[in-house]
Parts: sequence; structure tokens; C-alpha cells
Amino acid sequence: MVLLPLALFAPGSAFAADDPLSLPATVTTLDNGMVLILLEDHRTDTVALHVTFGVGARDEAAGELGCAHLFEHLMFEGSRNVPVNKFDEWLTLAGGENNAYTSNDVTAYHMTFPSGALDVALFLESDRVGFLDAGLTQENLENQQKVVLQERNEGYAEPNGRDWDTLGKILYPPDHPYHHPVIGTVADIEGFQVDAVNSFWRRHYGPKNAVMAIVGNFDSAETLERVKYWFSDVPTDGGGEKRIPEAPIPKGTPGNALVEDDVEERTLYLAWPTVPHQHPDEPALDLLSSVLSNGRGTRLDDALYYEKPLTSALFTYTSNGDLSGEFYLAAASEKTKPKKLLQLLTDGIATIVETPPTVEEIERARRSQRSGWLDAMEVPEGKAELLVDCYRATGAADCMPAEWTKYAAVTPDDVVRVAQKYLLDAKPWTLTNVPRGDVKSALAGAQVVELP
Amino acid sequence: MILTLAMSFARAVAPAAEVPAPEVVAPVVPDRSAPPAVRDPPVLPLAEPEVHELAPGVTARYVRVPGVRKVAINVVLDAGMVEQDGRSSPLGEGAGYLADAAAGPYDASTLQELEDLNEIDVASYLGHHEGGVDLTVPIDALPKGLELLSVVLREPTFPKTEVKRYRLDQEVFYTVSGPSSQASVARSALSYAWFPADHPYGVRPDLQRIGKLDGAALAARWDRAIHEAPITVLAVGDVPWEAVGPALTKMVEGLGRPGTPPKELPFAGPSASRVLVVDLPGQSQVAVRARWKAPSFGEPDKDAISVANYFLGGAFLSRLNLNLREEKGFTYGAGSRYGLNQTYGTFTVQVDVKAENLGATVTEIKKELHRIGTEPGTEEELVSARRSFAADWNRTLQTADAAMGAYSGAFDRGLTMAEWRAWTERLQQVTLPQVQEAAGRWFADDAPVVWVLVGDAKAIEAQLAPLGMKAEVVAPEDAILGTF
Repeated sequence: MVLLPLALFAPGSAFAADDPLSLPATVTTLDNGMVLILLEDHRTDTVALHVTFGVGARDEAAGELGCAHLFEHLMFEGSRNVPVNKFDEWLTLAGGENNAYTSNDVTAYHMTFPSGALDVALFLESDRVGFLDAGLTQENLENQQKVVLQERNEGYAEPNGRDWDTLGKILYPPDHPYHHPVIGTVADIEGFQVDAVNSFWRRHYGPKNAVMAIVGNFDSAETLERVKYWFSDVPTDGGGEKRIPEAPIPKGTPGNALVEDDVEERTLYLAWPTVPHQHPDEPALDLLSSVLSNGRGTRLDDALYYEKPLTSALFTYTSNGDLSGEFYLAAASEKTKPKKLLQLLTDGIATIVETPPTVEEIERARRSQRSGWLDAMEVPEGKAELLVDCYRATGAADCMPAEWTKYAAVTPDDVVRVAQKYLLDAKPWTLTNVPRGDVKSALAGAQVVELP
Repeated sequence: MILTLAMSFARAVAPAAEVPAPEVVAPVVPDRSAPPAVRDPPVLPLAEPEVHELAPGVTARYVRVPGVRKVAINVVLDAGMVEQDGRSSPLGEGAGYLADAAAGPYDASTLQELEDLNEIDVASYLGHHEGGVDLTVPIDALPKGLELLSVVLREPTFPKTEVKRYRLDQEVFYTVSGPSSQASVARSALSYAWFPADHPYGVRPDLQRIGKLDGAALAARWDRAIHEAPITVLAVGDVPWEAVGPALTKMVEGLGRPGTPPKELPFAGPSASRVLVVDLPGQSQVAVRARWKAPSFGEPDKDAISVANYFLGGAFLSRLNLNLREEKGFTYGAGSRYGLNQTYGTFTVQVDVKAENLGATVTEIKKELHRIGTEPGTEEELVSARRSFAADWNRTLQTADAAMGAYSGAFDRGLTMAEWRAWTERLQQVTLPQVQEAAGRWFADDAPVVWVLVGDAKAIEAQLAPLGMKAEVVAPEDAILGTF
């Protein structure tokens, strides 16, 4: 019912314009290969710029683990015409702010600023895309190596701070691009040299490896000209190196891992490899996650947290990268032992097959998904990120209405099917995080995993 | 510059004969010699709210913000625990926390399901001086949102299961998860070190009383909150008053009582410095927190200290982050926060470092606090602060929640929107000498400061000894409960 009208109406039609999930942006591929997405939003004076480079931890070879994330730092340290610290100084002087993030698949940089600072933002962005090498000094590199190591220390010092990187390490075999932590290893981070870092930048940071969205208070035609102007001298030869090829879904035997931590409770994680982003089963797996645990009235939360307080925290989480995805289920408790938690969680998943989800449960999960998208779209920076993500994943910037049709089409049977196929028919990898000295409470055969 | 180059180039290649010259487009090279000029952001106006008297003691303040997707409604109970209980209490906190769990005909699961299905968020609370229920709802689900707001406000049911879960969560936090978290321990220790236990803002958790909470007592406490104090309803969204007014009028029928709005209590702050070390043996990191007294909203120095906060720790390149992260590589991030309350203010520095860098970090923090009071800042810092304040203000129109933040901020301080905006404009007028003078008064070398350092006590004390700083060492269990 929903699919039909969406298939009939082209983007830009009255239907698309009325669809709150539609972002009718213009897409231009510049002569240098960079994809530019523009969307006017005149509600406030704010402009958001989001640029994603097709480089992440998966593109790192031996000896350069953590290099993609290191660039998340180095890209703010100056370039040919922007002296050290001036990137932030000039942007904040213009009333702007910025940040960045790195994943297995991408590195993304985002800024928001008043409309009167558009040229400053484009000047800064184009200068680091085109001429970062001139700012890559030994001094800058050494300083950011220290900062990254400290970032790693701070994250790992928190309770359960090592769990996610450990899960990635056990879930994917050593030759899989997702095996090592995005932040890298201490030895590699400490060992980076300017030449090698420069080489990494040249291989991955050219305009043809970038998708940029600008959303906010501007005129699209004028802004297109400004972008062309600022990127006209950016060399086109860098970036776009062929990515490390897709690895198969891990075929190793699921195992039990153990982390001893400065905590008072035990936390048990179950993890299954699932499907990459845009796989047809991705929406059903997302909805399964919400049906199992998303607050009061969801299966596991009611059974193990509210009605019977057997856990002190409980959550599900799905992640879908370009190469593979994961489904996580975790529970923490001071009193309930991990072995018992494993049984409770497994039984909880089995209820999906024994008592298939109602239409209401599915609809609730669907609405939560949609609500998250719509909330993001309320601000220019949220729109810009969605536009870039859409373009990368589907080749169309305005993909959210089509994404919604996929979730709208999921039936209770689909959710039962993916629960059976990906979770119940497959043994999970497990990680038990226990208080120091409480190793005996971990699942049988659990092996201590150290992060290099 | 660019035009001249283009013309010269065209002349150089133009043939002399009568054959029309092919059009040659000169390469346009971006001028990267200096950052481009910036146009100052406008400070966008926010309309004054319409005021509607809904009932004796109940006032609505409504404003239409065009283009926002949701409607935000805050029902503010104009008296909190301090007015009604004399101080914060487990009963008051529990009632505020649990009123939104289940209400009217809806059990907890059904209520949450209705919220999720309609993209509605309803949240209740009781604080020191006010409480209430906040609603955000998409415009197309407004009737359902108003219904859920009404049942949560008027008919919370405090079911046994929810109360039991709440008691357990509190117990787990205070005895299990809280003491092992550096961040939680640091937050609690600083708060309890700042406010003494006999001040209404310094009340320590009472696990015995928490363990005895029951639904009937919680319901009675909430009932008192909604009947025995003035109520103000703040409403923001792209809908006419007629879309919310009648439902809000019905919702508050029989609730509220005329009275004067509550006022924050004064707090002079500590009279002497204190160094508190919370011992987490074997921890390699130290969570560093330091707090100074700062001007209240009623004091003229608040404008200059707002700017000083931006200089010190309000942005990425503020002095503390530039020094401790960008120059020394000690931390992933250092920042500061100016807590600007009606009757008192606080200025807090926050940074996490390795234990071996603690001594140098403390020294640098002290140096930066000294420097801002003894040397003028730069024009660049000042312009950056001004533009940042203007950009922050303009973001308040992006969403209903953000607009509500601005309106409730003005309302809490008893200001009109014009007065609230005037404050933002006054921040634009602050001068460098004013920043230096105010910082010199508040952050003088001998000003009382409370340091909280969470990590391995032995390692911390070894770093503090050369600085002549003597510390009290407390256990994390005591820090989280304030029993030190």
C-alpha cells in the first residue's frame, strides 16, 4: 500500500515535498570528482557542512593501525595556508564549531557556522583536502600521537571501556578489516612517521573520495559557485585508492572471551555477525532489536528488568558496516551469574519464535526508528549527515523515504525469520566483563583478551 | 585581483587579426593569503510569549515558533522540594522520577507503547525549587500528546513494580556501579564537597529512606506538588493557541494555588580551599575537577565571567584545552563550565590525565586562572566569544526543544524575552579589561578552591607533594554518598 505511491511519484513531486522524510537536495559532481549535496534551510542563520571520506580503519595495512583515526586529529592541525591551530581559531572566530568521527568504513568531518562564515568554512575545508601535507610536521604529529594515546587511555579506564574493542577483536578473525580497534594499537600509534602518514593522506584524502553536504541559510546557486571557487586548485590526483577487498563473514568457531575490569558488576555480551548495511534483512534485524529491548513493554526489558529485576542494565544494539554487521545483546548484574544470564537472554530470544511479535510490537519498533530519523532532520547538521550517508549507501541523497518503505514492509514473519536465522541457529560469541579477581564467574572456557 | 588577471591573460593570447578570438577562461585561483572576511551573525529575535490566565494560580505562556516539527509543553510546578519539604527528599525525588511511569488507565507498558507509537516524550521531575511534566510531541499527534500529559500530571499511579525497580536502581547506583565509575565519583564528590550536608542543596542520599519508598506515599507527595503551589504552563510550537489552549485549561482544572514564585537560596560557598582525593587503587588515570566561586545572575560580573569562561574552557581552542591538549598532549580534552544560578555561581574546570602528568596539570590550571586575571586577553578571543554567543542564541529557533530551553531559561530568571535577549547583547559589549578585572576578583590566587582528584591515592599524593598540596583521602563509597 505504501510502496505503490512511493514508486509512482518521482522526487520533487508534490508527494515527495509533503513527505517529512524527504530532503530534496541537489547533487553535483564537481570536476575534481567530489560529490556536493546542497539543501537550503532558511529557518535560522545556521549552516552545516558535513564531509565524509571513504577511508576508515578497514583501509589500514599492517603497521598503520589507527592511522585513519589519527587523521581525525591531524586534519585540524594546519595545512599549507592554515598555520597550526588556525583551523579552529579561524572557524571559532567566525562563530563556528566543528568535530569529526572515524568508523571502520569512513572518516567524517562536520562544522556548523553562521551563514556569514561560509567562505571561511570552505577555505579551511578545501585547504586541508588539497594541501594538508604542508602542515604535517613532526611536531604536530608527535603531539597528536600523545593525544590519541591519552584518548585511548581515558576510554579504556572507564568501566566497561574496553568491551567494544574486545568484541570487534573476537568477532572478526585477524585477517578481517574490522578485526582491529578503530583507535589502533599502541605500537602503531607510537610508531607513525611523517612520511607514512603523508602517504596515507595522499592515498585516501583526495576530492574524488569525498562526499560533502552543505545545509542551511544560503542560496544554492551562489554556494555552488563558492564551492567550485575554493576547490578549483585542489589537486585531483589524491585519494580513491582501491579499498581493502571485502572479507567473508567470519567462519571461525564462536568463543567466549573475558575482560577483568575495575567494576563491581558482571556484564555479559552476546554477539552475532549479521549483514552489511543495505542488506534486505537489515530492517528486520533493527526491528527485532527494538522488539526485544527498547524500554517498558518490550520483551527482555519486561522479563528481566521490570517484572523480574534480574539485571541492572540490559540492551540490544545493531551495527551495519559496509562489509558486515553485528547484533549485540548485553545484560549486567551484580547478583545473577553470567551462566544464568546467558540462559535468560537465550530464552528471551526464543520467545520471538514461540510467540511471534504482534503487529503492534512491530509498529512500535518501526515508529521508534522513524522518530530518530525525523529528530535528526530537525537541525541542519542532522540533515547534512543523513544526506551524505544516503548518497554513500544508495547513490541517492534523498533516500530516507525509500528507506522508510523498507521498514514499513517488514512483517512479524520477517522478524521471526531473522531471529531464527541469525541468532537462534547460530551460536553467539560471548564476552564476560567481571570484577578483578572474579574470573571464576565467567562463562566456561572464557579466554582473557588483551588489546594491543 | 582575479578580474585583472583574467583580462591580462585574455589580452596576451588574443590574435591581432580580425578572426574573432576564442573565448579563453582564465583559471581562477582561490585567494588563500588570508582567511576570508566574515559577516557578523544577526541576533535573531524571539517573540514575547502570550500570557493566558487558565485558573487561579495557573498561568500559560505560549509562543508560536514557525517551522518547528514538534510542540513542546512544560507544566512547571512553581515550588519544589525545598519549599514543600524543607530540603530535597527521597520521597520528592522518587515522586518526580516515577510520576511519568504509569498514569490514569495506562499501565507502564501501555504508556510507553503509546509514547513510542506517537513519537511522544513525557517526562516528570521534582527539583529543588520547581517540578513538573515536560511534553514534546509532533504536531500531528498533538491530541494524544496532550492526553498523556494530562494523565501523567493528574493521575500518576506509582505501581509496585515501578517503585521496586526504582528502589533497586538507586541502591545499585549508590553501592555498586557508582563507586566504580571515575566520572560518577568525581561528580558526587565535587557536589558534596561544595555544599555542606545541612544546606538544602547538599542533602546526602538516604538509602534507608529510599528502601522504604512505597506507592501510596509517592502518590501523596505528587498530589501535594500539583495542588499546593502555583503552576505555569510554557508552550512552544508552530500551532495556534487554540490548538492547545482548551486542552491545557481542562488539564489544570482544580490544580495549582496562587502564590509567589520560589526563589533560590543563597550560598556563600566554601571559605577555605580543600583538596579531596578519592582513592581508586591501581587506576592509571586521574579525573581532575576544580571549583571556584563565581558571580550569581544578580551580580554585574556575570557578563565578564561568561566571557572569561569562554576564554578559559568554553571552546576547543580555549586556553585550558590549547595548553593541556594541543601543546602538552596530557589529555583528550579540558574544559570549564560557568554554573550561573540566581543566587550563587560556580566555575568548574574538568580534565582527565594520566597520574604521572597530574602535578604539571594542576600547575598549568593554576597558571591559566592566574593569567586571565592578570593579563588582558586578545581581540581574537573576544570576537570569537561574541560570535559564538550569537550563533548559540540563533540555534534556539531550530527545534521546539531548543526554543523551550530559551523560554524556560528566561522564565526561570523572571525575565522577559527582550530582557533575555538584551543579556546576550550585553555579552557582545564586554571588554577585555572587564574580563581581566572580573577574573582577577573571582579567581585570585588566594580564592578558595575545591579540588577533587579521583584515581590512585598514592600516585596522586606523590604528584601533589612537590606542590605543597595536602589532601584528604576518601573511599569511593564515601564519595558517592557524601559521607566524608
